[in-house]
Amino acid sequence: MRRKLVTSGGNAGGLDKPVASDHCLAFCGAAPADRASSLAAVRFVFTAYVLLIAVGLAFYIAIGITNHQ
Amino acid sequence: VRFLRENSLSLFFGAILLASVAGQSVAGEHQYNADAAQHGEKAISWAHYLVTPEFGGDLLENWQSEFLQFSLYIIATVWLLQRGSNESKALDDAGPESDEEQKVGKYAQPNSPAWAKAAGIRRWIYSNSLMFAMTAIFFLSWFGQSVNGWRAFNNTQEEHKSVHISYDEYLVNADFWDRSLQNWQSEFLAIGSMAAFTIYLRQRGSPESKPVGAPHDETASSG
Repeated sequence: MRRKLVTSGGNAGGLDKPVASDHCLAFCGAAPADRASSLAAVRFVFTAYVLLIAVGLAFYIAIGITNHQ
Repeated sequence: VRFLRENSLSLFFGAILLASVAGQSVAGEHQYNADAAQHGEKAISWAHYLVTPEFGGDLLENWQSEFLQFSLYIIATVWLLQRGSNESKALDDAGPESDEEQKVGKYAQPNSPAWAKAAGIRRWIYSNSLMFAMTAIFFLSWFGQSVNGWRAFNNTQEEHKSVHISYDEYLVNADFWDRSLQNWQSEFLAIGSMAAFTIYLRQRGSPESKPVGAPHDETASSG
């Protein structure tokens, strides 16, 4: 939706800039096996959504074009 | 357990999507059969209803408006700003930003996607891939709505002993534009109010809100 800026929270003063974060945003320090399984899970979720949309679109466009009753 | 925790956002919305589609199909079948009974026609089964243009049109007319909303929001927020909003980026960041800020080309990180490191057309495509995907789904859904809506419209014409219309005629028919615009207006209201409401309102813990203690004029921060 938009670029996420990770703030340190409660940064008073109306800052319009991101501040440094001590959060780890990727796989910092994770074991290689954990990282691989997490990446596989993320890829599965992404692919599931792509397939759901692709199949739904293809199926119902075909229904409309062929005038299925 | 780790799979559920790390993917709970996508899984939750995927689950309520399937539940909502199931509910829509059951309610839609009842409505369809009530209309059929009024016109002295046979009722159809739930499985049969799933492959009617009436259900397909209802499904895709809502899909298209959601993907239109996100396509416009993705591209509009590159240039358009809202001071104080969590939905806007920082006021001096309008535009596509520098390669350094976007971590592409020579500024790419070792673990950046390959097409972010690449030059030329591949980097350009990848730099806009989210907008391309959402826009493509919008146009395909809108096309799907139009063909299913056209078939369903002609089915209704038949029930009322009226003449069929061509696909071209349906594209300028009030039914098509009424269905499209009634969905668009609700999306634009929701997304516009989200941009405005996040100036003054908060949801503790949500990245869709500023931190609770953030000043009202703080732009682009995320809680």
